[in-house]
Amino acid sequence: MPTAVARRVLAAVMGLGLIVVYLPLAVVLVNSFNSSRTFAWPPSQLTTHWWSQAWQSTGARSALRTSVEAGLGATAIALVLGTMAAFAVARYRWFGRESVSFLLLLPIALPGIVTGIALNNAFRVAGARFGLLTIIIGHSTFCVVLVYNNALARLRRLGGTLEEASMDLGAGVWQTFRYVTFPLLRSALFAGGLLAFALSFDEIIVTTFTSAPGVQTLPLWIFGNLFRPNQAPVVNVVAAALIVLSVLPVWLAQRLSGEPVGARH
Amino acid sequence: MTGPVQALRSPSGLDAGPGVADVRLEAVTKRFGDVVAVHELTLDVHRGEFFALLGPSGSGKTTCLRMIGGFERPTAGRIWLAGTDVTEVAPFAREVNTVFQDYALFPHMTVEQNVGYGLMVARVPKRERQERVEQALATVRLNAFGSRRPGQLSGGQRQRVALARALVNRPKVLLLDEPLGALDRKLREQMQVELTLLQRDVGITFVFVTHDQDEALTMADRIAVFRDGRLEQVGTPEDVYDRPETPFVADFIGTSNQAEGAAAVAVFGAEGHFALRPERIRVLDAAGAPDPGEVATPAQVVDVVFAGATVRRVVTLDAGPTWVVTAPAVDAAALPGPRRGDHVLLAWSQGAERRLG
Repeated sequence: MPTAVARRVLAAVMGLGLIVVYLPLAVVLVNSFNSSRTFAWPPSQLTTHWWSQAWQSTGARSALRTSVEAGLGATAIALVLGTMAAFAVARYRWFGRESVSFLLLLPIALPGIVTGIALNNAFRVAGARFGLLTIIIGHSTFCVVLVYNNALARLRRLGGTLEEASMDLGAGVWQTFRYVTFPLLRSALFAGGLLAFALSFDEIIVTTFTSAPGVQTLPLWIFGNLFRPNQAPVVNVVAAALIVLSVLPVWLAQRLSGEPVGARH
Repeated sequence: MTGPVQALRSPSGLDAGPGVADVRLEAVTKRFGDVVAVHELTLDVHRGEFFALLGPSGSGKTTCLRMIGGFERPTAGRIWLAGTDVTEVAPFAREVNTVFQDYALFPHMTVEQNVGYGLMVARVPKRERQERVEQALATVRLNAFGSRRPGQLSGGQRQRVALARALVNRPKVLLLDEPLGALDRKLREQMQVELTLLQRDVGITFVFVTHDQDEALTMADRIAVFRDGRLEQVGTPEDVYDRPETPFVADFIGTSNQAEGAAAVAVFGAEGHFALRPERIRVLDAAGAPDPGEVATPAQVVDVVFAGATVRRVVTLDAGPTWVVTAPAVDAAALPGPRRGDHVLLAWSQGAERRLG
């Protein structure tokens, strides 16, 4: 049990840490309403002008669309592969199980630039046309693990007896999946999918190496316009939007995976 | 087995398998890697029997149950259900249902949906399904709980839902894995009675696994005692209690006072291995005289333990072994009785002892 002084010091340190992380983000959000083009601080006046300008920017809009498409594509692949991998690891024993589990986790630890260069080389060798599809494949390498982890944790928590009970009562493999396993897995998959989408949505390094010149995701668009003083307020608005859009899925996912099994049906 | 009614009820019974047993294990062996969980086990369970697989944990009884249910495939040997070889048949195609130890109720379904699950996947029409679910819930006295979820029920209620969910499918055999293990003692005793009555009511063969010898003795028509993946003895509760065939059975079922070698000669007057139940022994004063037809041996009281309904005395025989003697507690209250350190004479009717191999 820490003493009162120690507790106060710890609280101060933690507060400082949180401020370092979140104050800059707050500044971005506030500045997106700052009427000054050069972000004079404190803002003398608030305006939604930049937001409407950003909304009308064709570059930003097409980038948003690409980002959403890439996110949805990568999430879909992650859901299918991640779920299948989780089943294989949680429900069956086979040679190399631990290694495969590790290999699935690895991409999230690998530096993005390594993954990016590797994928870029591979796509070149394979003669693939760079564009949305290559971005999706690139993103799914590290999105799979999020679905996989969520699904695996849920499957382990559920154990196998519910499935055995279902089979015992006469349900075949597919009926068991449809009526028992999937309903109990659904919220974990949803949470994993949201995280995967959020990760894909704000990814920039791998995207740089897997996209084509004409194809820009939101983060790429921001990066491209960062050093044009004219665009600064619009870039700031897009950044603010990106913050909100990335935080929301993570927050939702955390709420979903924390809920007790089967409480939501 | 060949009657027309039987043929209608179970066409598979016609291709006459071996015998009339409802469940037959034939030289079944199950290995997990290097571990032999069940070793060349042969066992018959008769139709309509309440059959217990009893043994300590790790003795292979649960593995046996899981092989009958189809969740484990035997490494060697065959399994027959009602005369049909089902060794290769998947669990969902066997006319067997299981009550799992943790009940395995589907948490996302109501009690009604749980009970109706087997009928639903078998595509039984909705009307009939509802009727049968209602009936099954009535059998376990849970009609009022149909719309609840398993999470809102007590342990005993969940157990009854698991029973109804299995019975509603009218299986040939009901398998129960430690059915009362998760209940507290009072409820367990109550459910023991209920289960027995229920089994008599529905007339289905029940095979249940337990490590609790009281449970097996109370409920089962016959008991198979397991040890290290082999059968030690199969018999009625009276058989295994009064006529144990091995030292293990004598010791595992109830308490047994055993003597072998020189002690056997001194106490029972013969070579061999003997067992004697604690409640068969009377404790007399050291100077007391046994009744005619009784055998007696001198001993010293080491400890006296009051256990509610009975009084347990630990005694060391002059011939060597340490035994336990139990007497109804009324005696203890009425008589001062021998105390710790007292020299006594133990007496029992000739033939009360049991020779173990």
